[in-house]
Amino acid sequence: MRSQSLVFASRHTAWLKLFIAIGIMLALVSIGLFLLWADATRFSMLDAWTQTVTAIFLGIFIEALPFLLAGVVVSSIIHQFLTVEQIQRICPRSPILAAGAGALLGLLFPVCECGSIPAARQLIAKGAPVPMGIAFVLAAPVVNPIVIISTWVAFAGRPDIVLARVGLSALIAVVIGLVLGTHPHPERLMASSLPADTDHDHAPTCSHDGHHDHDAGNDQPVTFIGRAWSVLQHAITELFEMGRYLVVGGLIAAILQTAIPKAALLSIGQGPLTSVLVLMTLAVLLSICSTVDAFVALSFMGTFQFGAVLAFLVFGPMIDIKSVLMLGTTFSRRTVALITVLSFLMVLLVGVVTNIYL
Amino acid sequence: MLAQSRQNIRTINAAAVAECAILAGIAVMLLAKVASGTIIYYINPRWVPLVTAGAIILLIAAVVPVRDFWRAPQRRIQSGHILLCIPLLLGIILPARPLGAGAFADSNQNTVIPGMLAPSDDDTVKWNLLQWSTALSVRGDELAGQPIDVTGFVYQEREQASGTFSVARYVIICCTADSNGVRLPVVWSEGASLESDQWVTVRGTLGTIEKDGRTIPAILASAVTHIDRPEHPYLYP
Repeated sequence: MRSQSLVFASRHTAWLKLFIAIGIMLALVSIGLFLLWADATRFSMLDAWTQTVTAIFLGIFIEALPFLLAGVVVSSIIHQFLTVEQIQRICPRSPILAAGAGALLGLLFPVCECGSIPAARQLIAKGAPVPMGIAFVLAAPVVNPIVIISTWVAFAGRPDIVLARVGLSALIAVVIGLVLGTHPHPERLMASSLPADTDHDHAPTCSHDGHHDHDAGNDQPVTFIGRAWSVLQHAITELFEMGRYLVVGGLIAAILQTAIPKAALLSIGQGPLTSVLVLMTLAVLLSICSTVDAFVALSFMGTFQFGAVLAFLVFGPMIDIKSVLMLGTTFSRRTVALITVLSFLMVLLVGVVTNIYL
Repeated sequence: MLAQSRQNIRTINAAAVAECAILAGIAVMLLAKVASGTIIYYINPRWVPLVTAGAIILLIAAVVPVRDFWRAPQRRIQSGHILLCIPLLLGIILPARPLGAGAFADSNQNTVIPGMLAPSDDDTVKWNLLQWSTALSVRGDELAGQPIDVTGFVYQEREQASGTFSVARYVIICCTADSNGVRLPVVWSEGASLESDQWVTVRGTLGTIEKDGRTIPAILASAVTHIDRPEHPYLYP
C-alpha cells in the first residue's frame, strides 16, 4: 500500500514540475509575442539599462560558450579514457618534483577549477603526494591548453599577458604546494571526511564529484559508441554544472559594468595597491570559470592598471566563492584558510610590484 | 520493492527533457542570430565561425538526453538547468540591439585601445572614429583643418554646449564586455534637435571648441546626413 501511494506521489510531482516548467515557458513566450504584436517599437522604449545589461551579458555568454564546450568535452574524454591510477603510476616522490609535476599536470588534464578539485581529491585519496595535489588544484585551472588558448584569444596581440598568467600561476602553486607539503603529518591537512577510496562517496557539496564516481563504477561501457555516448552524457552534465557559474558570473559582471559608472571604478582603481585589491575582490565575487574569465578581465584593461588585471587573471582561478566551498571537501578548514591567505598575499605582492615597476 | 516498482513506472524524466530543450534552444537561438547577422551585436565577427561550430555541437548533444526521457530519473531539475534558461530567454524574447547611446557614459572619452596604432597615412577623409581618436591622442596639433567624413550614432551629453552634439561609436575587441566608446563633438546648428541613437554621417573639418575651460578637438560640420544603422555597428582595432 505504502509503496503504491509513494509511487503515485513521485509520478504526480514529476508531471506537476513538467507542467509548471512548460507553463512558465509558454507564458514568457506569449508575453514576448504579445509585445511584439502590440507595438514593435515599444521595445526600443525598454529601459536602456536592461538593453545594455542584456547586450553585455549575451556577449560574455556567447563568446565563452565554445570554450566551455571544448572544456567539458575534452575533460569528459580524459575522464572516460584515462584512469587516475595511470597518471599516478608515473608521479614523482620528491616534494619539489611532485609540486612541479602537479602544477603542469593540467596540460594533460584540461579542467577548470570545478574539475580540478574532484580530480585532486581522487589523486590524493589514492596516494599521490600532498604537494602535487595542492599544486595541481591551484595551477590546473590556468596551466591547461584550453585556458591558455582562451586567454590568448581574449588578449589577442598580448602574448606577454598569457605568459605572465601561466608562469605566475604555476610558480605560486608550486610554492604553496611546497610550503604545505613540509607539514610533518600531511594527513592532518586533509578533511576528516576524505575517504581512503572515493569510489562510492557522494560529496553533498559537489554533485560533480558524485557523477564522476558514478561513471567510474561498474557500468563502464566497452564499445566505442558506448564510450562516446558516455563522454557526451558526462559533457552535458558538466556543461550544466559549469554553465551556471558562467550565467551567474556573466550577469553579475554585466550588471556591475553598467551599474557602477566607469568614473567611480576609475576613482577606486587608480592606486597601485587599491587597484589590485579591487580586482582581486571582484575575482572572488564573480566566481567565473577560468575558461572564460580572460574575456571579463579584458574589459578591465582600459580602466585598471596591468598589475591589477594580472592579479585578477591569476587569483580568480585559484580562489573564489565556489572553489573555497569545494576545497572544503578535500582539505581541512585550516588548510583551506592557509591556501587562501597564502595565495592572496602572493598574488597581491606580484600585482603591486608589477604596477609599480612595470 | 519500492525501488523496483519505481523503476518500472514509465514516468517522464524532467531533467532529461529540460537538458534536451535548453541545449537545442540555445543552439537554435545562436544559429538564428548567425543567420540574421545580429550575432555581431555581441561578439567580434572573427569568432562567428567558432560560435557556429559550438551551436552545431550543442544541437548534436541535445539528442543525447532523449534516450533518458522515459527512464527513471537519476537527477532532478538542478540550478544549472534553470540558470541556463536565462541566456536562452534573453536571447529569444529581447530583440537584438547593439550597444547604443543608452550605455554611453559622459566619461567615455576617446579611450586609447591597447595595441592600436595611429593611422600612418594622411588620407584623413577615410579615417573612422577610432582612427581619428587614436591619431588625435598622438598628433592632435597637426590635424587642425583636415577634412573629416565619419559615421556614428548621435550621443547627446547631459550638459552639451548648445549647437553641438557628439558622434560616437563603440569599439569591440572580443565581445560587448570589453566595449570602449569613442566620440567626437560636432558643431552643427541643428545639433540639439538630433535624437540620441540616430545614425549619422558627419562631413566637415577638424576644429576645436571650448568646454569647461579647455580646448578640445571637434568636427566643424558642413553636412550631417541621417543613415540607417550600418551592418557592422561596432569598430574593431
